[in-house]
Formats: sequence, structure tokens, C-alpha cells
Amino acid sequence: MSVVPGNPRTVLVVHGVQTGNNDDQQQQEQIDALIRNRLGSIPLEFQAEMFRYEDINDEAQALYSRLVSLLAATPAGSYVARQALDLVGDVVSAYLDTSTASEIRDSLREHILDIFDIGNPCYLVAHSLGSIYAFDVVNDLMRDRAFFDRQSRRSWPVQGLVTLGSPLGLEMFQSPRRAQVTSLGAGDKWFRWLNFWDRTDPVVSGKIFGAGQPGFDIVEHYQSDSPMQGWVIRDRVVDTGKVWLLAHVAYWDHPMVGDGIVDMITN
Amino acid sequence: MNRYTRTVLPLLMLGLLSGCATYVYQGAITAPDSDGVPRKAVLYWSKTDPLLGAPKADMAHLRIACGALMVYENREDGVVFRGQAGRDRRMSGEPASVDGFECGRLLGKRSLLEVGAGPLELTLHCAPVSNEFSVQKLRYLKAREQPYRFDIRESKTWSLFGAVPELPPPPPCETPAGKR
Repeated sequence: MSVVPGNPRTVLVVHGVQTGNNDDQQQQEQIDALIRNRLGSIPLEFQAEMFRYEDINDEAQALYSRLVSLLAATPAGSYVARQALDLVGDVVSAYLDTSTASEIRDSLREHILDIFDIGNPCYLVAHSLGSIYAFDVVNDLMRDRAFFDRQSRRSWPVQGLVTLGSPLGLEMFQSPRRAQVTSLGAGDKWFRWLNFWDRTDPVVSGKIFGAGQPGFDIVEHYQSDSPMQGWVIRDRVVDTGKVWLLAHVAYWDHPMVGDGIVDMITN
Repeated sequence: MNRYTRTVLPLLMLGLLSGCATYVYQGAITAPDSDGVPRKAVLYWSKTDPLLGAPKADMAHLRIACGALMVYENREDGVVFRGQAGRDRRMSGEPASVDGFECGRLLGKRSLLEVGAGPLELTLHCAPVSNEFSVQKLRYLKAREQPYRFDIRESKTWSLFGAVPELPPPPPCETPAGKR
């Protein structure tokens, strides 16, 4: 198994905290349109695919969902309560690193390796909570000696990672497994990670009223000075043109995010 | 509360919470690329000025026809284009064994928030290195000692919910003598 550089690119989109079910997650269409819009005349064959895990989360939350429905007597109250449970439950699954989180990681890893098997260069684009899963799976794959030879990107199941509105900088998502990125060892190929964030995005800053996050670094603290690490990590502060929660969902069609993705997948 | 108040008050609150003025800045030049071929290059960024809260503008993109992306971003010491290990080579030809070295900067500006319409100078002293995954040869503007000068134009829109800025499209890959 190895990646063929001339093959079509696969951009695998990982959604974040969501309500609804798998069928509601269609963000790959937005990423597809964004890339086509920003490619210009660069010749590139690619497809955007979606990795969906909302049904895994929903299944894990089914018991609580029934309980909430009983407690919230009115239809409207029941609806609101279920939406809240859907959102909070997604976060709790990732935060507590539950068996549900493990199942989601396994499923994402399997999806990536299916793309690797056909030899297509794969790039991950992960939003919000999805970036936690994407980050963990990339690092897990790097720990597997079968992949990520630093001398040849053809052995890399993931060629690059793009995260949008990621909470990876928040203390609540720090854990021993995320203390540092996996070092690639000696060699001259570099794994690229672009992290786009907006200063008023509350999921990035943890400031729920959207107060501006100062500074420049959210995930660049993972970057070490050692060339043995093999990562190029860039925080990109994008002005989404929106504020607060509206900023958190504005990355999908932002031209500068598109420029960054195009630059990554064409190289 | 009458009907008028019930309608206007929430709209006013909404406007205060999420209303923004969005500025788009752009400038274009034609200059030799890293192979010496004249190409159109476009520099652009946006600034959002919300009714409540501080304005934001942190990153400018420089795109060249048939070429690669150059990113000038706010850092502690100014607006800098940071080179990437494995991708950028300094004008001196020095190989990039470390990451994040300076490949260029906006002259005389500490932040993009300071930049308005008018002349703007930037430096560029790196050239990109293609790899086996590059779908076309990587090109920047030609690295050189003297700065490039752009004439920046400003446009402004206002929106109740804010709006993703409309930034210029990538310059088309049209070159003299059919060079790509």
C-alpha cells in the first residue's frame, strides 16, 4: 500500500458538535464548493467526502434522550431538551474520552485507511469537536510503525490536517494523550497542520460571550524546535466577518480558509 | 410594550450583538515571478469592525497567477510571512532545516489593523520548492532586496448578522508566450 502523488485528492471532512443525525451532515458539499471557488486555474482532481459520527453519538445518548423526553412534559420543552442533550452529549463523549469516543476514532481511522488502500492522497478538514477526533487519529496513525516514514510521504495515510474553530487549545481537552504531537523522527518531509480560528469564536476561546481572544497561538504550542518532530503547525487567525457563535460556523465558505485548503492539497 | 417596540427592540439588540462593518482591502501588481515571468499578483484581506467589541484583521493573502499562496500575518513583531520548513528556500539559497523563519513582511506596519487605503510596501525574500505532490510548479513573486509596492483600495459593507467578506478571486493563469 502506498499513496500515488498523481492520484485524485480526497478531502475528508469531519464535522463538529451537531444536532440531528448522519443525514444532516453535508458539510462536504460546502468544502467542495469552497475549493472549486478558490482553485482558480490550478489543475486538480479531487473529491470531498464526509466522515459522519452523529449516529454513533446519538445511539450512545438514546437512553438519556428517552429520559429527557419524559422529564420535559410539553412537546416544545421535549424538543429543546433533546437538542441540548444532543449538543452537550457530543461534547461530553469527547471530553470524558468514553467508549463512544473510541468507537468514533476507530471508525475514522478505518475510513482513512480505506482511502489509503486505493492510493489517494488524503487531507483531513475537521471542524470544532471533530478536530479532537481528527487530531487523535492522526497521532495514533503516526505511532503505528507501518505508516509515516519521514523520508516518504507515500507512506502517509494523511497528508495534512486542517482544523476550523477547534477547541484543542482549551484546557478541558488537554490530556496525557494530547500532551504533545507524535514525533516523526529523522527525515526531510514535514506534516502540515493548519488551524484556522476567529478571535470571537467562543469554542476556540472558551469565553461563552464571545470576548475577543488575544495573542496569536492556539495550537502552535505543540510545535517544538526539534527538526525531529517533523510537523509544521500554523495557527491562522481568520476574520470570518462575523462574531460570537456566528463566527464558529462561518469557516465553511470563507475564501481565506479555501485558499489555505487549496494550497495544502495542491502540494 | 406596543407592537412597534416589540419588533424594533429585538432587532436593535441583535444588531448590537452581531452587527458588523466589514472592510475589504485589495491591491494588484504585475511583476516577475520566481522564474522571471511577469505575473499578476493580488494582495487582499478583510477587517471586521463590530458594533460591540474590538475590530479584527489578522491575515493577508498574496496570490500570484499560476502560483502559490503567500500569507502575511500579524505577529508580535509586525506583519510577517513565515517560511515553512520543506517548502521555502531563502534568497541566499540556505536550506530550511528549521521552521518559521521570516520570508517577508509589511514595511512600517505593526498590525493589519493599521493599514488603510493607499500605498503599501512588502518584502519577499524566499522562493518555494516544489515536491512530488505539487500539481504545478510552485511560484511566488521573485525574491528580491527592494520591496514590492501595492496601491490598496478599501470597500465597506454593513450587515446586521455580519457577513463572510467577498474577497477577490484567484488571478487567472494567463501568461505571455503560453508559459505555465
